[in-house]
Amino acid sequence: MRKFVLLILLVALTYNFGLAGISPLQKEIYRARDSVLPALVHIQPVITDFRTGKMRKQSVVGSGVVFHEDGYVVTNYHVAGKAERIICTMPDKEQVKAELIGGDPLTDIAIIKLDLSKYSGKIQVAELGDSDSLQVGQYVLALGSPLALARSVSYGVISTTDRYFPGETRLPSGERTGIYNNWIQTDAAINPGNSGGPLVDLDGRIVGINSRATLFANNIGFSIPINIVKEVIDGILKNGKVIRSWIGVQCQELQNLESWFGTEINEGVLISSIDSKSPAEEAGLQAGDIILKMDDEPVSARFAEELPAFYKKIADHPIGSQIDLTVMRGERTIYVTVTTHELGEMLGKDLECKEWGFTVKAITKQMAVDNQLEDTLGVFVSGVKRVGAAAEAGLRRGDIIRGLNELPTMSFQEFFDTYNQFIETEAEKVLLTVKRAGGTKFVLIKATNHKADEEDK
Amino acid sequence: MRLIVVLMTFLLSVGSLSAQNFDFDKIYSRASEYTVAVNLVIEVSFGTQTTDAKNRGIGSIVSADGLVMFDGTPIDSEDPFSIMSGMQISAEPKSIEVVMMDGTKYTAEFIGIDRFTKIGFCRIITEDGKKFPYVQFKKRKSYKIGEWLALFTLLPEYVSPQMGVDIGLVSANIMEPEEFVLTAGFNELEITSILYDTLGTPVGVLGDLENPALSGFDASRMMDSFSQMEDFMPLLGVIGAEKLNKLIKDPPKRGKVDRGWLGIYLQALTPDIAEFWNVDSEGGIIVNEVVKDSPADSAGIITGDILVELEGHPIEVNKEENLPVFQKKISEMGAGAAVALTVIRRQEKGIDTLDINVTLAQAPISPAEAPEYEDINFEIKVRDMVFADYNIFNLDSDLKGVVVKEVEPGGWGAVGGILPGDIIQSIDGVKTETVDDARAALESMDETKPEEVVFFVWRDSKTLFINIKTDW
Repeated sequence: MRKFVLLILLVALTYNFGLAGISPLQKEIYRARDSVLPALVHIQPVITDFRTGKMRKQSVVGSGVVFHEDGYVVTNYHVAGKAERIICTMPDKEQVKAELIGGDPLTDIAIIKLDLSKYSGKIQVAELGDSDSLQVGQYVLALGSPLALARSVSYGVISTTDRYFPGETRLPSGERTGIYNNWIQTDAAINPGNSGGPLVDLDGRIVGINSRATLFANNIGFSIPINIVKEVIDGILKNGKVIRSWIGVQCQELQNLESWFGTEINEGVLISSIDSKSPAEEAGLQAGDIILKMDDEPVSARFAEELPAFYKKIADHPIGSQIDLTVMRGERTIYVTVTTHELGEMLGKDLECKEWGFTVKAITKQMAVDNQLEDTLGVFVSGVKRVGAAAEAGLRRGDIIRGLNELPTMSFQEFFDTYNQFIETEAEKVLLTVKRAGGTKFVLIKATNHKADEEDK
Repeated sequence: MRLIVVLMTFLLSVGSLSAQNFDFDKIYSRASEYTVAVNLVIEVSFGTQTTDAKNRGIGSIVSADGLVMFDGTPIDSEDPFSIMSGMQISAEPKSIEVVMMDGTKYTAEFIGIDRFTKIGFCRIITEDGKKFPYVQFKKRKSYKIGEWLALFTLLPEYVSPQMGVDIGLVSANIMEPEEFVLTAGFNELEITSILYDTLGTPVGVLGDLENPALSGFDASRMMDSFSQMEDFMPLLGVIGAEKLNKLIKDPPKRGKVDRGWLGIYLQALTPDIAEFWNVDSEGGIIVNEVVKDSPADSAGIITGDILVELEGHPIEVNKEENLPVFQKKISEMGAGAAVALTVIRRQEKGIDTLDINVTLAQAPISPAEAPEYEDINFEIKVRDMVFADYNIFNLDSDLKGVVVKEVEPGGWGAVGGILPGDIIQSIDGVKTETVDDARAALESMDETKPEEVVFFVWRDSKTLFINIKTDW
């Protein structure tokens, strides 16, 4: 009898306090949470910014998730891609240092590695899922540490798997982004600080890396599909960067233009613009050409959403390889072979010319294309301090320094070396030859002015 | 000692007495006959928005047949700010109304704006050949600092009478960047008001010293000067009778301006740079770039040359702010003028001094002067490309097209996504290198009425296709 009463009591207790009464969905959410939350880290990088003519450090926050037992964490490029120093807070609130392994602004992904040598806890790894099998309407969780340290889970569904952003999107640091992928859109709340956190399916697998929200809109968050992220991770771990091919074509969706160009529905990719001095220009491609086949496979982009995949197809070719294109030009069909070049970095590395009060950037091939420059020689003035020798001399942001003391145009490295030499020898006056809208200017820097300023302080 | 003080007081009071010495009754009665209010209706576009703006300012009748001068700044479409910001102010006012002080209203016909003083001219339209009282300016040789000047300021429309007196004084005789009699006590709203000396003689009108930060062709400089507010302080002073009488005799006509042009990009030879290069000159013009096939190019001027003398006179430009003085001189000489230049050429073996003669060409037309075409079906206005387009946006000279000047909101062009600033290179496959090409292409469509029209445009250093499905 006593045993029986006890049993009844036990059943009653279980019913009230145990798991037996929880809905299946709630159970699944808990399970998904438990498989990823222990791998979630809070990231506090100190990033550098050169836009004010001075190297400025800035502390930012974001989220990341451990995907490898050696301590590799995936996060956003806009969180850690420009980091000087990174501190991470682990799930047990212990802080560990991390180093930047590599970043890819075009997909807004960065990989950092935790320094586990002094970490007393046990590291947990989350599993990367498959974003290609995602369904619109599928339940997902967004994990992260928005606003501050407290870790949070928000819940929603996949709103669309194929969100495309028209126009040009740039990261805060100035790089173009999102050319090679579409985004997953979710209504799970994504706030500042969620950046770099995982989007998780109910199996507890990561299906996306949360990257952006829309200001002044509710329940619209965007996530980079994990299958794209996986390729970026591979590239960064193998080569330190993602290597992409470039031919220099800009394409446009064919929707509404089919009858004018005389193409069938879902046939071909329209070239709308050719970058100057690009492999495409060299191969004789023209705006208005329609690419029907690439390497003998039919291609099409009727809608803008299909463009990133097409660009990615080009980018995935090995550098220097030949792409065979079947092209419709007016009434004719022509065959064009384009040899790919490496896309290279979007923006060049930064340098602070502290003594003269300005900052410069190396000019990359892509910067030259974007700004219609003849070549990548010289350095780009990324900022001029309001008070300093450079400002006094009339140097301006956007100028391109082509020469020092009328020596011929130089590379970034030559500029760097010559600059240091001037500083070491305490050169009093240096004449910069500068390219500016509409012509060349001579800008005379007087180092003495700057020194006087320093003494005043 | 006491005597001196008394004497001083006496002298001072004479001075201040003379300030009160204007015979305002007499000046007022004369001035009220030829002083007018000029009401302009101007079309202003910003981006895709176009609105009509009204502007009311003071004007004066300057000839018996009803020639009126007024402040042309509101319709000055050559203002580099409008060119840069895309805020295109149409070159012509839509309508002009001239209101006499007795309330009589006349319609006037726009004539043109003087590029340098920004004084605008219009002529009252009368049927009966009516004669008007008008102002006659008297030349003054020199001005004493502290000398009093008076003008009439236009009062708000709801008060009567419409004219009030304001007084100011000569504050400085400025010598550089050019000779200019600076005044104190007047404000910008009074620009183009007639200035009277204490004897009541009309000696000129109030104008401003050209602000170097707001002039010249260097567009990037424009953007910088937003942070330098001191550059915007207007220096007001006397535009003298000599200049005015010349303008009145031959008022500037719209769309027909004679401006001399060398075809160089220039920079001032500062003392620092002169010293750095061991050039012995008080000032000069560094040639930064020579426009291909320009007069300078044909005369053999090359990049890096320093112009030090113009017509035998030294060029005393030694700071960037003074560049417009040189530009203005060249401009005023007009096309066809033969100009003697002394040029310093730095070479490895030393410095050469050369005498070079250049025949000035006509300056390239500005965007506002470019021929334009307005299409009523797509509701867009396009214009020819001009030198400044290539210059400001660093465009390849191969790029040919027509620039979209205005897009009427709600029209087919706007709905289809055409934006102001787009350069239309072809319409339905037909090349459009000039507005005539564009007109031909678009007008033929008025008959064929195709269901869709494809524009191929250049925008932000890329090209794209714009398909407009129309509804004729």
